Amino acid sequence: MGVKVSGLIETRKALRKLAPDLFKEMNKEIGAAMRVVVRDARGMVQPSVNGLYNWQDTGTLVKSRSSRDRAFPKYNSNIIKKGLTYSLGKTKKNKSGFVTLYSLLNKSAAGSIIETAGRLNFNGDPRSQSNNRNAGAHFNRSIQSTYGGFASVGKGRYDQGRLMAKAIDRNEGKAQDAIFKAIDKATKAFYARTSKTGASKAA
Amino acid sequence: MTITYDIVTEYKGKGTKDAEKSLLSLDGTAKKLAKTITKTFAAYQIIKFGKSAATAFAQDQASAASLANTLKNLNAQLSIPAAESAIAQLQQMTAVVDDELRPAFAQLFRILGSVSEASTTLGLATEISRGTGESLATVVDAITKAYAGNTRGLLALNTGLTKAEINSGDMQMIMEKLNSMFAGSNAAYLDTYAGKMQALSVTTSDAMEKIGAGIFDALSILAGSTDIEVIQQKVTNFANSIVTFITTIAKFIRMTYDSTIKPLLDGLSKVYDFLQKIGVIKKDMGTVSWGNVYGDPAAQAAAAADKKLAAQRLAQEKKLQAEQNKTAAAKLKAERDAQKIKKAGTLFDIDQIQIVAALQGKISNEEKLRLQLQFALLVGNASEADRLSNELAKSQLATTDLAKAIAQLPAALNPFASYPQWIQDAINEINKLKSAQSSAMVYTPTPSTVTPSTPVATVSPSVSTAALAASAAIANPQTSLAGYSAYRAGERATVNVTVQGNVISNKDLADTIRMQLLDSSASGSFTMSNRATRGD
Repeated sequence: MGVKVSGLIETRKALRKLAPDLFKEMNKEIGAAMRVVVRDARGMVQPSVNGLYNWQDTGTLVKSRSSRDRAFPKYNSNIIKKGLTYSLGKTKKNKSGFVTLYSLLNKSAAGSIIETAGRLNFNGDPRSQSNNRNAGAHFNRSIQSTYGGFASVGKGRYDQGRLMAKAIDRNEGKAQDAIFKAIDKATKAFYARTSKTGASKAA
Repeated sequence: MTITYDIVTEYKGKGTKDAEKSLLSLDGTAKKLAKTITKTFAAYQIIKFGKSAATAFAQDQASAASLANTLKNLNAQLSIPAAESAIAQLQQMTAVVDDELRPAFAQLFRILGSVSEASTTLGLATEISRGTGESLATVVDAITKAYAGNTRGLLALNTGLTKAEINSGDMQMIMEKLNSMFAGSNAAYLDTYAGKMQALSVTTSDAMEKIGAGIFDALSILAGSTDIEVIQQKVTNFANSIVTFITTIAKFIRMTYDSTIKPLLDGLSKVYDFLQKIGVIKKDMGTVSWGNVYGDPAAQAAAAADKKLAAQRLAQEKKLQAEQNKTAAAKLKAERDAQKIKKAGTLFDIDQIQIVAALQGKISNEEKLRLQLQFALLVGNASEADRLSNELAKSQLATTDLAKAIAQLPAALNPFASYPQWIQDAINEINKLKSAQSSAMVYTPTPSTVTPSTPVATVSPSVSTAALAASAAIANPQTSLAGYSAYRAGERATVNVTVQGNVISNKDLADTIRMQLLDSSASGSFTMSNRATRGD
């Protein structure tokens, strides 16, 4: 879904090195634009999920039943809200060769579940061999009844979600516009400064 | 798991390029390795090819024998050469290998029983195969089944024949239709690159079979046996022997290199390095000179001159580059200016656009002429402008004449001119009637009486003569009454009621009167009746 740009990595590098104040200013503006989306997403988080009262985090320690590293995460709205955040850092290059410069994140485990549950098989896994085959469908429907359906931020199936994706969808690209404006502003200011003083003295 | 939504991403191709570079390097290494392997195993490859050729020949022979056996079983032993010839021709024409054609031919021959028919049908089958994209075996299977009465396969081929046509079972008609539909598919396919490659492949395969036949004959002589398995075993053994021989030679060369050549080369390398160190040999192999140049002032001066010249050349190049850049910038500026001028010029085109748009609308001839003239003036078409101005002048003159003619037209007759007079007359008449009515209202007429008589009762709603006589007080009573009588004449009617017969009660009387009044009304006399229009 992200907008693909070119030359921004170098621009950021140059700004950080030669005009850190402009870089800071730019990040401040970008952060403000992204916080709007994050706030909206956090506002969507409900204190509990209808019909899943046993999923609610009551503070007791939960152990994994299947001897994995950790147990299935409990639903805790505060943790979910905390996990909804943004990043202004550059990621590692993915296998297709792309680097993400600005991203919105849903970090918590329970938040990720709310975001994506039922995206692949809403009515449960057809290959399920569980004794309670409808559990998956019941879980998804309960989440759906609390959070509503998926919002799409791209063409792919993995571009759908209930929290952050919905917030991005509602934002209607305003955050992106603000990011580009901030970058543009910082770049222009940097050029203006360098043309007067020379690159070495831009800071 | 963190769900990430990328807002801004950038493609960083560096890593990809690195990977590409590594891949290219790997490719180079692989090619080198391939070369080495090719060299090492060339002999083995030749033997392998020989073996493949012999195998191909053996397979060809086997399929030919199978076909011959089929024909023999069907008492068509004499047709074997004709069948082989037909298959060879078909292979040439269709680029389908004979190993595929033979089983198909045998299958068709079994159902058709004729070499010529089988070869013709096989030819058609290859065309259908190319046209539909199905394999030859599938097509031949469908055709043979259709000949046997099972048309399902033919239907499944989706040849374009209708179900009714296929189910008719008329194979001659079906084959004719298929022929008309798919004729030329082979030729078209062979005209493509893929077709040519296929033809080449078939030719190669054929050549391989022929080589195989030669090798087989040769090996038969060498092995002293015509049994192909024995020959194959001997060929394999021979190849293994050759591989062992080559490996031994390679080992010998390596040993010789390690023990003799390598120490010699190392020694020479050391001597070369030593000579370089002491300055006998310059490091640049392109200008090897014997002798020490470092202490020679002339050589130093020459080197300094070279350096100066190089610096001058560099400066000149830089200057030239700067000039070129300047020219390029000027050119770019000129282009931009030209674009700006063009953009400005388009503003004027708006006038033209407006005129053209106006010409599209519903306008009179004169307006059209004006617009066309304006357009001609805008685009600077003098001749057209002259012609249009003349036409416009004519048109204007014609319009002016028309206006004059209209001005001189006599006043048109008003068809409604007499209407006020008529209305006035009508009002007068109404007033007269009113006055007559008011006069009549003074007189109270004697109620009408119905005097039943035998045999007819006369009901007279009219004013009796006696009553009229009593209206002496009315001014001009005769005229008024006469007029009024005339005016209401249409409303009066004489109703004849026969008391006898069916009129025996009041109701009968009333009904009879009503019916009579209705009859009178129907015959033209006006009758007041509440139900007159419904007739009941």
